[in-house]
Amino acid sequence: MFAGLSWQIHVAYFIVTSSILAMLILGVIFARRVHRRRKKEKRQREVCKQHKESIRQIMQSGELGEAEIRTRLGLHNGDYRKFRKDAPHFLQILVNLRIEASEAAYIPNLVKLSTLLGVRELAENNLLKGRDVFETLQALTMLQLPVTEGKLANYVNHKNREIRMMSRLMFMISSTSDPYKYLLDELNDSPSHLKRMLLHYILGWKQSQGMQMPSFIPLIEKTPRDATAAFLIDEITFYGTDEERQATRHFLSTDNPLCKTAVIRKAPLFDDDDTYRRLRDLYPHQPEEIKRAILHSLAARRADEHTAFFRQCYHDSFSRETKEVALRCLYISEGTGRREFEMIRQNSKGEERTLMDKIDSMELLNTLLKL
Amino acid sequence: MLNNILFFYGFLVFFYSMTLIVLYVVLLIMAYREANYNQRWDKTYVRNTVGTSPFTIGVSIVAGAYNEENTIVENVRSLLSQHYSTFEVVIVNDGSTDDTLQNMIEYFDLVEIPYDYVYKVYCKPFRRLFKSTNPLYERLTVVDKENGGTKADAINGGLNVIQYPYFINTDADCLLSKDAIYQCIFPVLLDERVIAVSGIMSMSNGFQVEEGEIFAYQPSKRLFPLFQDLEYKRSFLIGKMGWSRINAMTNVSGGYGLFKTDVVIASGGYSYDSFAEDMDMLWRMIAYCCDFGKPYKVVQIPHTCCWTEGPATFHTLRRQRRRWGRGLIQLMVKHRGLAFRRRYKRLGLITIPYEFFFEFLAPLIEITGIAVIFYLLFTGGINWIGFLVLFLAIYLFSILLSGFIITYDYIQGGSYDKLGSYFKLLLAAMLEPFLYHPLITLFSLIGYGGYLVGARAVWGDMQHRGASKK
Repeated sequence: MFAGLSWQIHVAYFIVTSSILAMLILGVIFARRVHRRRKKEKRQREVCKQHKESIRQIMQSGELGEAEIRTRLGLHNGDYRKFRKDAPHFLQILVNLRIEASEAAYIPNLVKLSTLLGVRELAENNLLKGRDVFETLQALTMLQLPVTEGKLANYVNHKNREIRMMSRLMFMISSTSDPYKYLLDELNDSPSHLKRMLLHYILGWKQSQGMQMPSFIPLIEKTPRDATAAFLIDEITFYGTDEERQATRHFLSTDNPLCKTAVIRKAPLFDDDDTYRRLRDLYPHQPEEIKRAILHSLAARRADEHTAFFRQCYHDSFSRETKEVALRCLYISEGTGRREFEMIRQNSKGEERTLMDKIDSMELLNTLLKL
Repeated sequence: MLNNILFFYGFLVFFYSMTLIVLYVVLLIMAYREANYNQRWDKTYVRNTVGTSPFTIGVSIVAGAYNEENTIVENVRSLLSQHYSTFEVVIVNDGSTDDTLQNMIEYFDLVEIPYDYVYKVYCKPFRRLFKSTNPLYERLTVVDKENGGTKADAINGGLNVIQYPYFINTDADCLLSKDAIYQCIFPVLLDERVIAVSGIMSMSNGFQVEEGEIFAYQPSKRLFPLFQDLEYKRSFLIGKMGWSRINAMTNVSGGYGLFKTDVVIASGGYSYDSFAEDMDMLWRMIAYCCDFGKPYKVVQIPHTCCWTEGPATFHTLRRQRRRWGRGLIQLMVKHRGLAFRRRYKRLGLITIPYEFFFEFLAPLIEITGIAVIFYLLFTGGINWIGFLVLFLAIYLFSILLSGFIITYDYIQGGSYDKLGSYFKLLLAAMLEPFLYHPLITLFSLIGYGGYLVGARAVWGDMQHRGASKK
């Protein structure tokens, strides 16, 4: 067709034709994917319409026998195959209903339900065959539905970090021998906010079910990452034992600023004189961020007892931000602290006066908004 | 001699255009893979986890407003209605001369709060700060400052008061989707290296809006916004998505983007004298991370988070594109030290060279090409059959590329309510090479010229018509 034309035309048409072909192939792949997704969504809506309510009622009920569950589902002999085909859709329904329930909810019929609906079989087959692994692990984690440890063996050290993370979270849910085997490795490996959030969520669920929590202190001492140690200290507040909470005070003398800050923030929970004394002693030799954390902690519960300290910090500090925190602590002390605040305000001018007016106005506004 | 120059020039343009075509296809494939990458996560699960976690990251929304009295209340309400647990909205009234500030004070029950303003980054002098006495609007802060002449100055004014570790930079006239914060924070939750996230922006010209809510998604009846809509879709869905795949993003739009606060402040904040302050900010952030050995990632997400009213008239379009042209040449000059340097990783080795050869030089090559065509026309040097055949090939490619994007947008959920709206876009795609593209090229060149002669330029008034009421 282009026989009489220059080589540039040939090359141009070759490139353009190849590009159009590449776009068409991509378009077909994309359209196929979208078609499958829409077909799946359509079937999902149909299955939801038929079964969601009955599944919800079973999940909200007390412990039921298998026969009773089967009756409520309308599952009679010979219908198993039909149900098994819709297992992916039932899985999604279970996940959505599980999310609606609170994280602490114990669902006594979940395991039986997932077996009868073919969800458990689907999940285990997917893990065995390496099919939709991430999506399956994610769904199982959301359901907190345990699987045998062996099925996770291929994935707990997978090269894909998301599969690895999900499988290790699943391991925590499923393992009865050593559920926290991979906890520290996972926290230190490719840290992310979402990972910490998911971990917190799962630990919350485990605690609500009366399951054993990890030993946080050895993990904190073992980890080379400051941020991991700080996170574990935070988790002790929520899920640690009283002994572990007391033991965190030891980290007040650590050189790790993140750990130190995490412990300082938790000091109001101890609410004892010794801890407050240690914070006051610690104060002079710290960077400004830690000083501010100390001031906040001292003001959280016993502001009235530390007014002299707040006043001193205000006068001694060269950091505007630290001065602001010290003033705010004085302000919220009520009584003596407020009087001290007003005295300082009367004698100040310029930027300092503006700062104090700001604190007063913001606190008044916050009080007004709470009413 | 002249024939040799023309011969050499012909080869240059030929290889340039063929490289560009191949690059677009490669970007398209990379964009497709990037768009699929995060689809595996169950959004309900993540949303539930984020919504109930004590570790949820707070986000500040910062928006500058200059003479927006018609739309400011509606737009601030839209910003405040985000479905996210921990956020604040900071509106910077950048020395408006109309009732922008007064309208906000009246509607949102604002009171002035004494404030010791700290200039963490430079901006024009601060005047006043306002907070609301109405619990419904407790997340709102309004900063009043002197006009800085540029959006960069306004955003810096907001940066100095925000309290959260991430902020979204947007315009007060932009309408955000309800889950805009969530969509943009998601990549940050997955990867702590992320320092900036770009969400897709679309045109809101032609939409029906009531009290900050969009009721009808329909295209504009005017041509310019249609062309721009197409241009934005190509830019976001192919260009940025593709570059995001290899962490070589060229730009996070100033109309909507999420940034890590401490990195922005450490990089000096937005340049008040830049006319491409968004691209300049991103490049400086990346350069800062490279200089100090900090890992970084910049991500484009495949979700439309923001709708903005684009220039609807010739005059406002010209002003905008002249500014962008000026901004681009300014960037090239300012950041020439980063180009082709391994120290700056993908920014220096991919992003800046790409911007230089295929964005900055493009208008110059095109105008030279037109001049050459005219010369050959008058000297009888054009092989008309070859010319038409080549033209047809390139035109066909551009139509198909736009068609692919339009189809992709429709299948993904669509910017518009009705299928028929997409035919308007397709028509715009056919007319674009003849009507729109030459204008944009011309305006860019005028912008370059403006920079070279040091002509004074200001942002001016965008003349918002406001999306139509229901």
